Amino acid sequence: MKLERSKQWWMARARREGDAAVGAGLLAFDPALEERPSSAQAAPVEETRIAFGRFVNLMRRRRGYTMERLAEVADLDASELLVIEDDVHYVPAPRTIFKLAQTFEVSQQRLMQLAGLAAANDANFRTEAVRFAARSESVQKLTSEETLALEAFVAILSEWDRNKVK
Amino acid sequence: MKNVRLEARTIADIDGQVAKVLRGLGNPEPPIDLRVVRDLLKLDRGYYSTTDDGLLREIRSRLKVAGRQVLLRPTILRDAVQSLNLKALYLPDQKRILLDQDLPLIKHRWNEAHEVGHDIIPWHAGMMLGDTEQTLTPACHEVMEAEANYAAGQLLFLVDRFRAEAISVPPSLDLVRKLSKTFGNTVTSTLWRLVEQAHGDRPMVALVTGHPHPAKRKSDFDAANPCRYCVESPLFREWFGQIAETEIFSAIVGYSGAQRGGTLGEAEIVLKDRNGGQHVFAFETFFNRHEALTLGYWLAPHTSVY
Repeated sequence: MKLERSKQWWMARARREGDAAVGAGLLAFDPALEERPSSAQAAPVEETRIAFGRFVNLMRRRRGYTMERLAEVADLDASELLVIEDDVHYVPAPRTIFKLAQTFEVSQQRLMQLAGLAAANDANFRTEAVRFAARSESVQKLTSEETLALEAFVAILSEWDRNKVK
Repeated sequence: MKNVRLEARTIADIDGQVAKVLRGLGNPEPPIDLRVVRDLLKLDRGYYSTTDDGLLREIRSRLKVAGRQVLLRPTILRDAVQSLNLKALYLPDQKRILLDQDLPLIKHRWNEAHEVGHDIIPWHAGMMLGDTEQTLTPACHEVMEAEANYAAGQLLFLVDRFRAEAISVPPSLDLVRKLSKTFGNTVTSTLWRLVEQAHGDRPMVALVTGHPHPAKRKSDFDAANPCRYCVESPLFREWFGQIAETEIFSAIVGYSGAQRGGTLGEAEIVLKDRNGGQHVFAFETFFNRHEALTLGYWLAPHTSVY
């Protein structure tokens, strides 16, 4: 999947950017000096968090893992996985996302966006995330539709990484 | 602003990475030489200046080439550096650390170690700011900064070596100054480290503030946010984490004199734990003419005398 962006899209981005300072690498703060900047970045989006919980739940079940087993495989706490699957308000630690992305072999960045740790500068992805969440009501076994939804979603996550490498 | 609490597994992973670096260096004596750390990690170091346009232009062209940090607006890097109080940058695809050369030399050390932290924490590589396709939320950014700071602390204070030296004598600001010399780090970062790491079984708290005395406060003093940093030890957070920074600041205002530098005062202060139990803390505050450093540590349960 190659992301093509229209001139209107870029213009909208430029307008939104305004005079804000963006894109300058990670900041370093010596505790001895200076205050952290107050950042005015996008707030986490609850709808993608719903998709995140569903995603973890479906991937876990597809692999036939109990929560304890996934916790063991991914080196995470089972109690945290329980909250991830059940509570849309929970924001996992960056390390948790990294471990889940490794375990499920999907893009860390995309998973971060789903979990509400980062905002995608790409409306299409959010649309996909919402569609995925809507199609994946919790059931014991995956329906074929769920499986398709999951696979399409994983494909998008993986594609994104390949595009970044190009 | 209170320090961010990191999860146990996160701490264990970072500890593992730092231990690997120290092992690779043959477990060196303090102070650790960051040049050899860079060599081991194959990191490159460069400088930029917030006052030198030529350097900024050079970095900008490198960033354009780097791909992941593409900058389209010609002045954006300069704006970012200035408005974000940027002290250093880490460019993961180049394995390059860039430091602000206008900072005092003693600050370079912490900033460089912080960027080394970003390099050795496995999940930071995929989460760097400067990515045009996503923006980290402030909460995520704050956690990542705390993780890099923790890694920097572990590296600069040689993990257990600092703890071993720190617990051999009772906590005090004198001890902080002595350890700061031994490990070659700023007094503030040493104070931070002492509270977070050294005395696991004793509740401790540190404040970094402006001069606490009402007559010496700067015009931008904010009564609602009087502390630049409020660092809580794990046990302090567990027992006394409900206490607001403003309350602790009020307590130190009570004993601090208006001296222009040096020790501002010390006192025993009673703090209430989450269950209403009262505890005596020893507090002392020192003003280095730039900022006030306060250390408070638990002494004993408070017993009322009627």
